[in-house]
Formats: sequence, C-alpha cells, structure tokens
Amino acid sequence: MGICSYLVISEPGAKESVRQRLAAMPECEVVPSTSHDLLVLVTETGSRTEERSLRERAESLAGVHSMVLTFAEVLSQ
Amino acid sequence: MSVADRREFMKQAAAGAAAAAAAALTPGVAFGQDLTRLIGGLGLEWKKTPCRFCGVGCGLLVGLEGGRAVAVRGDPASPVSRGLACVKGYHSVQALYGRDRLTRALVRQGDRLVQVPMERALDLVARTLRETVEAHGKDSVAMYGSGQWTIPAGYVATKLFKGALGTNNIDASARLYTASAMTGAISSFGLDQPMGCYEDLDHADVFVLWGANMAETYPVLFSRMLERRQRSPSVRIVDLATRSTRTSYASDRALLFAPQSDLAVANAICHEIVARGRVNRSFVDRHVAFRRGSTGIGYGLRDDALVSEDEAEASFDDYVRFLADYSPERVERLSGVQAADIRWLASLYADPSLRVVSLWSTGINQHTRGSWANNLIYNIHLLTGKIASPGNGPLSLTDQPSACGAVREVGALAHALPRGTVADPEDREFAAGIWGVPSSRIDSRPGHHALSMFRALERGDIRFLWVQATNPMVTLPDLSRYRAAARKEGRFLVVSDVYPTPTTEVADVVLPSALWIEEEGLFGNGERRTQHFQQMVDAPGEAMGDTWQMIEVARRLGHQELFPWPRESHVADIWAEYTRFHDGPSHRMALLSELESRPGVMWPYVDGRETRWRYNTAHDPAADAGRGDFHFYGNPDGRARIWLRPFEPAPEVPDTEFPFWLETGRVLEHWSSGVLTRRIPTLHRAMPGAYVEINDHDARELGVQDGDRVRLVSRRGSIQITARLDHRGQPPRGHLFVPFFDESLLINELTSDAHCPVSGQPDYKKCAVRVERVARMTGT
Ligand code: SF4
Repeated sequence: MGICSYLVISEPGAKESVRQRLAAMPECEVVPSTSHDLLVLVTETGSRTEERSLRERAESLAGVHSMVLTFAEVLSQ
Repeated sequence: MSVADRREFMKQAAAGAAAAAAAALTPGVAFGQDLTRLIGGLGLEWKKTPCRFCGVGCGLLVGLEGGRAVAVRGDPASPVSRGLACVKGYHSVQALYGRDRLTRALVRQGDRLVQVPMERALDLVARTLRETVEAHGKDSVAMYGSGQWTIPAGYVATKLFKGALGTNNIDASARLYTASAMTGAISSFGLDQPMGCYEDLDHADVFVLWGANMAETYPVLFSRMLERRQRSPSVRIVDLATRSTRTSYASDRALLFAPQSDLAVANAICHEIVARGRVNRSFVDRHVAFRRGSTGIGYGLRDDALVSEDEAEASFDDYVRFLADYSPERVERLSGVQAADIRWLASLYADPSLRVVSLWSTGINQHTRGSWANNLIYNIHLLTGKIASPGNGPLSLTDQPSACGAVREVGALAHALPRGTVADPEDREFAAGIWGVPSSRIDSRPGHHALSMFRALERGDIRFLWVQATNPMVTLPDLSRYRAAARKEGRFLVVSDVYPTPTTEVADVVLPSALWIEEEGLFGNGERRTQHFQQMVDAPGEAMGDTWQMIEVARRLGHQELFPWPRESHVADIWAEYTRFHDGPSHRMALLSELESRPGVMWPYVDGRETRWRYNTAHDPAADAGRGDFHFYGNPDGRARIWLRPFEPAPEVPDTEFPFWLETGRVLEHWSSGVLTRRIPTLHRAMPGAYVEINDHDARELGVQDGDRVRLVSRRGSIQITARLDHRGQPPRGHLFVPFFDESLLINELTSDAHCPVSGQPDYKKCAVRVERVARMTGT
C-alpha cells in the first residue's frame, strides 16, 4: 500500500475542471481549496511504479500548473 | 489499529500534511473541511518537540505507535509556529528511519571501515585522545561540534575540552552559519542574542528582508509575515536581495543589489535619514554612543587569529562626516539600487508612524564583513530609535535548530565560556568554580575557530579531531583543501553521526549517534526560546546520544568526578549545573520542570515572566528603569553603539577569466548538507539534486538551455551540474546560484575560505567562477 498526498496548483480558473479530472481517477481523492487555485490530492496505489505513473498522468492534465508531493507513507509494512 | 483504520489514518494524515503545507505556503488558504484537524486522534500518543531542522524552532507534535514515530503535526500550543510547520517539519520523523542509519561503531582498517562494539570504539577514542595529548600537547586535540547539538551536548563538550582537558580548541559549525550575528550583536550591544522575538512579526508595518529568501528557508516565519499583511493590507514587505526568489515574488517591492554592496546601502539609508533631519535625537542622545574601529582588516586568508574589536570614540559629527561618502547617488553606482529607492527605504525606516522589522540570515552573516554588516543594520534601528519594542527591531534568523542554545549560549566556541570569555580572568574563575577545577586549568588564549581548526589539522598542529553532528566534508568552503587536510598521515578523525556522509568517509572512528527524539534534549532557537523534548523512541542498534558519548570518553580519561551524572538523569543534572552560569536577571533560564510542560520559554525568565524585548525597561528585568525607556546594559556605559563601518570590497570579484558571481544557499525541501532531508523520500523526490540557476540572457550568450549540463570552474575547483533557467530563483546577469545540500555535487569545492576576520564566518555568497557548456540533454 502506498499513500501519498500532493498539493496541486491549478492554472487560474481551472480548479474545478482539474478537480473533476482528478476525481475521475480511481486512485485519487481530491479536496479543492475554497479560496485559492489549490487542491489537496490523496492517492493510494499498489507500488512505486504505479505511483510514479499516476503522478505523471496527473501532472500532464490540462489545467494543472504544478504538483508538490507533501506526504508519502511513513508506516513501513 | 486495524489495517483498515491504519489505511484511513494514513489518508487523513496525508490530506492533513498537504493542507498544512498549503497553509504554510499560502496563509489564509481555506478548504471545505478542516483537513489539518483530521490527523489528530486515532489513538496515537502525541508528544511535543521542537523541529529538528532550522533555528525557527517550530513546535511539533510527534505521533507514536508501537515504539515508532509515525506521524507529525504542528503544535497549536507553540507560540513560534501556532500549529504550522513547513514540508521539512511535517516529514521530519522519516529522517529517523533511513535504511542506511549507522547502528554500529566503525573503525578504520586500511581503506575500510569495519564494525566494532561501541565500547571498543569508545576505548579507542579515549586512548588515542590521551596519547595525542601526551605526545603533542593539550592543544593538539580539538572538538568540532554543531548547532545541531542539544544544549547538554554543547555544555558537556565545553566542559570536557575547556574544563577537563584545558584546551580551548572547541568550535562548532554554527561558526559557518551564525558567527557574524554573534560578533555583530556583541560589538553593538555588548551581549549576544537578539533583543526582540518572533512576536515582532505580528506588530510590524514594514518588513525589510536583507538578503534572506525566507519563503524557502524560513517558510513558517514568512507565512506569519504574510498573515500579518493579509490582516493589515498596508503592511509592506521589502525584499533586498542579490537575486529574485520566491520571497521577491511575494514581496511588495524587490530591490536587487550588487553582491557586497549591502554595506554601502545600509550606510546610504543612514545618510538619507541624517540628511533629512529624521534622526531620533532624543533616543540617540540618551542611548547611543558612536564608535570607529579598524578598517582594512583583511579576509582571513592567511591569518588564523580573529581580529579583536578595537574601538575609538567618535561623535555624531564624525558620523555625519563619515556618511558623506554614502550619498544615495553614489551608492546607486556601486549597488545598482536606485537612489530613489534608497530614499524610499530611508523614509520607511524614519517614519515615526511605522514599525519596522529588519530580518536577515546567512546573506548578511556569511560575508567577509559579516560582523560589520550586522552593525550597519543595527545602526539604522538605533538612529531611528526603532528597536527593542513590539514590531520594531532587527532580528537575525538562525539556520540550525540550536545554534543559539547549544553553541552561542553555552560557549561552545573557541573564545567563549558558558558565561563570558576565556580571556577574562573573572569569567574563568567563575567557570572553574562551577566545574570544580582549578581556574589555571582554563586556558586564557582562544582556541582555533572552525576554519583555523582545519588549517591547524593541515599543518599538523591538531592531530586529533572529534566531529559531532555536522558534516564538514560537505559544508566547509574550499573543500578539497580541507578534505586533504583530514586525510593527511598522522591525523586521527572521530566522527559521530547518524548516517554515512562524506565526513564519515574520511574518519578513523565512526560513532553511531542517537537522533533528535531518540534521546532527551533541549534546543535553543533564534528568539532566545529554550525547548525541551523527551526521549520518545529508542535509538537503533548501539547508537548513543552525543552527550553520553562524550561522558563515556571523559570517564575513560579519568574525569569521572567532573561528569558524575547517572545516565537516566544526566540531562536534568546537566541542566541544573549549566543554568548556574546564567543565574541573573539578564539570562535566567526556566527550570526543567517548566520546560517539560511548556512549548518553550524565552530567557531572561524571571519571576515566572518571559522577556520578549530585552533592553526595554518595561519588559526586561535586567534593564534599569532609571535609564528611561531603554537600557543597553551589555555595555558598561549602558549605551548601544553606532559604528562607523565603511564599505570594503569582496576579496574575489568576477573578472574576464571568472566572470560570474557564485552564491550558494538552501532550498525549501532540504536542510543544510542534506544528510537528513535527502533520506526523506518525499523531500528527496521533490528536489533530488542540486542545479545551477543561470540568468536566461547569460544562458543564451553561453548557448546553454534549461537542463543542459555545464561545468562551473573557480580558482579552487570545478563541478559539472545541470543548468536551470527561470527556475525558482532568477539571478541577475553575471550571477549564479547553487544549493549546497547535495553531497554528490559538492559546490564547496569551488567556494573560497575568505571569511569575516572578526567573526570567522566564511562568505559562501560570493566568489568568482566561469561557466563552460558540457553537453545538451537530448529531448530538452
Ligand atoms: S524546518 Fe524550520 S520552518 Fe520548517 S518546520 Fe522546522 S523549524 Fe519550522
């Protein structure tokens, strides 16, 4: 199990469309900011490779300006 | 906790960390749910601690489960950070669990380091230390410690070397990060440590940042400033810097100055204040004395001894004549800051209706005139009387978690004692009385400061060097010179650390250390706040706290009576002894029992009251109210000093062969030499390697594109590194920036060991280099 969180910075005005696109990915849970072009993204994937590929997909979505990783699992299994 | 609970907990913690990071970077950000609160509860045991990284000293709560530290959240009770932390703080516990933690002692056999039991390694350290003293004298041994030490570790090191062994050869890496702040404060006020505190950030109307990229290096304090501006939109943040950074973009005005010209800009501000008749004469007449010192004092390139401050009296008229050289127009030519902007800055400082805080860190302190640069910022605040009161004051920020607590306050420096200096017979007598040693045991001559220590190692004057909690083979300037010194025949290097580093690579003995909450300890942050933390988890394998390592060695050397404390209570016993040095109204410290229960206490702490503004007679119990509103009691005449300090050029400036300035520094994700943060996967992935920021016009002229490999060459060395254009920071033309956290790209191979000859602090911000294109990354 791998759980990560990201701060996603959307292009101005694109927050809602980014939210919808991210929420459509089954590994993702999204909480948008109510005040800024920012979203909290929590991901759950099965491996590092999956996580990397998910990140790449998320980063390449239209409207995503950038993503900052803010958490990766701390509990080793 | 069940697997499902754990999974849910992890997700909530993950969301909380992202939300908290958002809050640290964008104060006032709101989410539909309060995500940061989600990570409370869930059956974990939470214990308080200061953050392990920078000297801001944010309060953290560490979540414990099954003997492991599994989560972190900001401590809402912390007056420093009020529940916030930066990305480093949030991920800090992961630094405990890197796969390559040192868990066994290592001893060199030929080219290899081999594991030995800790007891044997400690025997070897003690035996070699004793034999070195017998063969080469007491000054052939030295300790190089750190602002990452706990206060007990700094105190025990000082007592062991100065009180037991009788040598003053003890210094700390805090010398590299904060020494100019110390000597600057002492020369202006007679005492070290800031007069104000972080609460100033909640009151100021104007913030002037002198070369401090606070958005990346002190993000929690930066967000506190932004929060202040959000509450009061008239608040202004002015970024005075040598390159544009995230801090510049968030500021109201960003002014670029040419490297080294900060000295002239500060004098020009004072020139303008005087010329406009905006000096606070009643404050100056009552609380200030003018002084002039030596000039042309060199750059420490040949001489090891630090320059001692000689001071000659001067008058206000002398000062006015001195400032004549610093008209805004003249300084514009030198600094590149427009005269109108200098006048505007002066008007902010001088406006009696505005409260002004100046903030700085290594940009001012890592400077060949660092001590002077500190004096010059103090001058502005003294000239306007905007000092030592809520929202008014100069505040030097500190890089290391306990540079103030474990080094500057404890006296773990070549010239110092826990109270006063080794040169002062009364201070020696006082220390000897507490330590129970003859005062003749304490040498009156200062020992070697950091760079001088490694030069003495090179010459063979020092033969045994113990390095604790620091990584000089990444952080020393002119690195190849000092690495060669450490590798010389007949030198014995002991390194206590938590992970393998380039410094352990050259060691003869490596002692595995406990890290942070694996032992009980205390840190002292950059606002005179002492913070206690309990041992929360066990250290791995045979790893042992630095303090206890030194006590073990001291006992093997026959000094049991000086270090008699039982292991279970040694921190409390050391605290009780150490605080006897500060048992007066100007520095009294809290009892351990109070520190255990509170999120830190600021000294002087007298009759249950912390002192937020020293020298202010309404706040400071040591200040004499008979002197008016302020009493600068660190100086015998009760007055602070305005110094006549001229601009002097840097020792090495760009020329045709080496046409670029090179500046080094930190980035948000990594702390110091990266030993801990590079082992935190999240941070490592976010910032995996160092790079060089190049101005895009310069890059175009050089034929360099973003992502290309380039070679940087100075008179001392060269490295290959990836070029970044339009990255986080944008240097002006002729200027490069490289972060120093990456041990695989040792930028300090290129830097110069020129240093402030008063403080001994090297200048990592200015040396001359050239850029050579190496190859283009395909596909970029
Ligand atoms: S690194 Fe500094 S700013 Fe970040 S959490 Fe730790 S103490 Fe606070």
